[in-house]
Amino acid sequence: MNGSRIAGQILLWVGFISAALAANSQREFDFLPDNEQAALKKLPEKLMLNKDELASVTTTPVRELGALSLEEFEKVIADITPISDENVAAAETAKASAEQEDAANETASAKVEPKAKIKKITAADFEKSRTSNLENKWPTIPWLWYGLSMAVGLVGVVLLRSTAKSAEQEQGKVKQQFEVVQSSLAALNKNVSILSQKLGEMSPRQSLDFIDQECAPAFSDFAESRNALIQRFGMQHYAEIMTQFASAERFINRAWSASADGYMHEVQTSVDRALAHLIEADALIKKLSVDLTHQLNS
Amino acid sequence: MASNNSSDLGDITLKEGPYPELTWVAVVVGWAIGGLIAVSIAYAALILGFSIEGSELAAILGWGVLRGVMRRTSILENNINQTIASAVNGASAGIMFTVPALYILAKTEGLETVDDFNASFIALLVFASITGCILGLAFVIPLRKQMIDFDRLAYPGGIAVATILKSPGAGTRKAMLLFIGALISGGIHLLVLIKMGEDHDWAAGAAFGAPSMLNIVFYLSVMTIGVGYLSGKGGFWFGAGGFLCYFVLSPLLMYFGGDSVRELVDSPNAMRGQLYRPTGIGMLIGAAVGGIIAAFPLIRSAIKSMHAASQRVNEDIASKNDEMPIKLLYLAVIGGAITMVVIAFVSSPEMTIGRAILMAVLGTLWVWVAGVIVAECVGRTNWSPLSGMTLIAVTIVVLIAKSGMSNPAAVVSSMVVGVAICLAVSQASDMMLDLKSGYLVGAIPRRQQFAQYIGMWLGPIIVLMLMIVLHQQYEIGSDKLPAPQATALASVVDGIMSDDVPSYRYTAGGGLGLLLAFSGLGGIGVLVGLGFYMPFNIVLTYTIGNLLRIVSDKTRGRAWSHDVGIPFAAGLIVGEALVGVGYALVMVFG
Repeated sequence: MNGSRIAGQILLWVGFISAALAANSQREFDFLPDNEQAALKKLPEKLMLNKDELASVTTTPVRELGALSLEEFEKVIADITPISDENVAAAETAKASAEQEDAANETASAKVEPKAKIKKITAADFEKSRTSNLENKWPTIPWLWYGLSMAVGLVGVVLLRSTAKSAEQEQGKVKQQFEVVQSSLAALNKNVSILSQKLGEMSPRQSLDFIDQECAPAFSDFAESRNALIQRFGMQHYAEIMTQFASAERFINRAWSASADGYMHEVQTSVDRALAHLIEADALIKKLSVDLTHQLNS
Repeated sequence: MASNNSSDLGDITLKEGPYPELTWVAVVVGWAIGGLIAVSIAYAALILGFSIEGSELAAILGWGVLRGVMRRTSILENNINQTIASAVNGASAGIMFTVPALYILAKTEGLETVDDFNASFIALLVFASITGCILGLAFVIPLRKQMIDFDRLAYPGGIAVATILKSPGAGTRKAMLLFIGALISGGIHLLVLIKMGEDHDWAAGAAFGAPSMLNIVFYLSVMTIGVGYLSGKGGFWFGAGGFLCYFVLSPLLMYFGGDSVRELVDSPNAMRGQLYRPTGIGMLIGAAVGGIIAAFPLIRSAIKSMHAASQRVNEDIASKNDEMPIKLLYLAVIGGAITMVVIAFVSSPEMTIGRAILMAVLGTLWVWVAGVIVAECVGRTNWSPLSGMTLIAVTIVVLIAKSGMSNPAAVVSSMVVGVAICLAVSQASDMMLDLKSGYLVGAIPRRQQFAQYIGMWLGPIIVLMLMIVLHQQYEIGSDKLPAPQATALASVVDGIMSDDVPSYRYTAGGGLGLLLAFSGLGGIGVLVGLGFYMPFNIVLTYTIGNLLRIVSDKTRGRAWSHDVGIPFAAGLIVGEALVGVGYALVMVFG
């Protein structure tokens, strides 16, 4: 059974990685005609233009450059390149001088920061203007490769799900966790009951310390082992038990807050409510365990 | 608390009378603090392009005002104050990332009329924002049981807020750890801001000669380490998603990728922007849908228990209803959806009733799906993919609107519905975070849920007015108010208008998310998807916190992590958040 689980894990992740590779293996750029790709490759990598600079070579807004014929588009790129080269050089010089200023006057450089966030027209905008013209972009994903990989991943999922329950049961993990659930719930019932009875004699600080030392660890242990409840009783009953347990924990947290603030009447009310929820959770687990034993016997 | 009698007993003063929780004082202080935070953060968001979650700041300010000035002594009252204040502040991200896009789009040829903010349009935007908030909360409230009670998601931000709220009673040691953590984190963040400005990354890979495709750049933020620590091993798959992209996929794409992808592999930022991020958005959606199907028994059980609780009267103590009545939530969803139809219909004279119904129904459905996604992401990692979810929302509504309407009408009506969806998602994530802090301090969920409703209406009014005043004074989109997030959204809208939506990559990502969601490895689909979506520098730094938690749990034990590690990590979050707000204010007013 363990072998099936390992096989399931391997198939899931091989399928997932292969499908993720397929999903990211191509860009829209790959589907542009070769001469259009060549034209775009002429643009400097770090191109950054202002709107005005673009307007000096074409009246067409950047998002509508896709409507230009290839010849017109190539001409725009040819006209832009010399400006942009200067721009890149100027931007780099400006950056260097700003960095020098940073060292000399840190506050002043920080004040320059927001201006750098104004959006410039980049090479990616030019590329987008052309790729947005492609009629069908769905072939960007190689769907056959993607589909086969997903099928491998799905086989992994089926293997994992079919072996999950039995594998855990085989390892005795569920049994061990369920024992922790039972013992921590018993400890909680006992300690919260003691707290409820002795609160009248306690100071707020004593009640606070009692919750921290006698209740908090048991709540944590129960929560850590709660998975056993799903394995043993199923999701629906797990939810019913956790509704009671979480309410109990929340009311103990409330008792803690009320103790810290000195409202002992509220502490008593909250502890009593927590106890009622714990008793309910305990009764539910016992009833479900009996039902399960009956089911197994019959 | 004039009505309460007090007597000193040991180190804690004993008090009589009801324990203050949802009081008028908490409501008014929450409105005031929330308004203050919303104005500050919204203003900063327009200039700097980022928004800050207001819960920690509200809890600290509430601590000072309620305990320090007003001498009130209730952790739960301060929790209600921070719930209301962060609900008010929820509008600052929701509105500032969307509405200013209209001012920016108005500069585009053919869309000059879209920024006509007359009185009736402003009223419509406010109405849409509030409707969005109501819808978002109504959808997410029934998920409280599933995500907090059953799945026990970490909500690191919620833990930090609860640690602040509990600090008066948690003892000197924990309070000191919180304070020391905040001091270290605030000090480091201040130093980093002074030395490096906002883009504080350390290119460790370049320094040690690692290939650039591996993208080994650390985000210099101890807060992020703190968040990773608080997430614990539950956040492991988030880091794994990022490593999968740059340590596995990028090197493999050098061999299996197309020509242009191979050329791009050495530019990790371009790889993320063009490939991994859209795939990640698809994965988030696929994983969320798969997660809803897989968790259906839990969701059904949570709703069933809310139904059962609303029908029980005067029964045993364990059956008392602590949740908001489910019928009220149904009413909010139905009423909200109908109002969305009306809002869409009146948003433009060109709108037909059929198109308005389609926009509202799909928008409402998207609020539910996106609400689940952000609630789970915030719960597991503390990061909300709000911008990605808004992008999908706007894509959906623009695609519906643009078929048969003129471009300006399509843009205006889509942004009106879009802002409602964005606010719904923003409120959903804030509500779940607050409900987690509430759980940890023992708040009654119903009271917190009412408090969120009490606070949510105020934010849109304040932030919209602020935006209009600022635009009149300085002009949004200018050097003075660059509005980077809204500019990005405007370019997306522009792209959608020219049919440039990578729906094929979203679809492929959706399949990947579904595959992981059905694997039975709880929640990994959303986490791996978020790892694809987020910048890797944040993922790397977050992983340090994750590893520290795993090591401290193993070597020092879980008790040590709870007693020492968590208060200290919460302090790391608080310190950097406070310095971040302070820095933003200095930048704006200094």
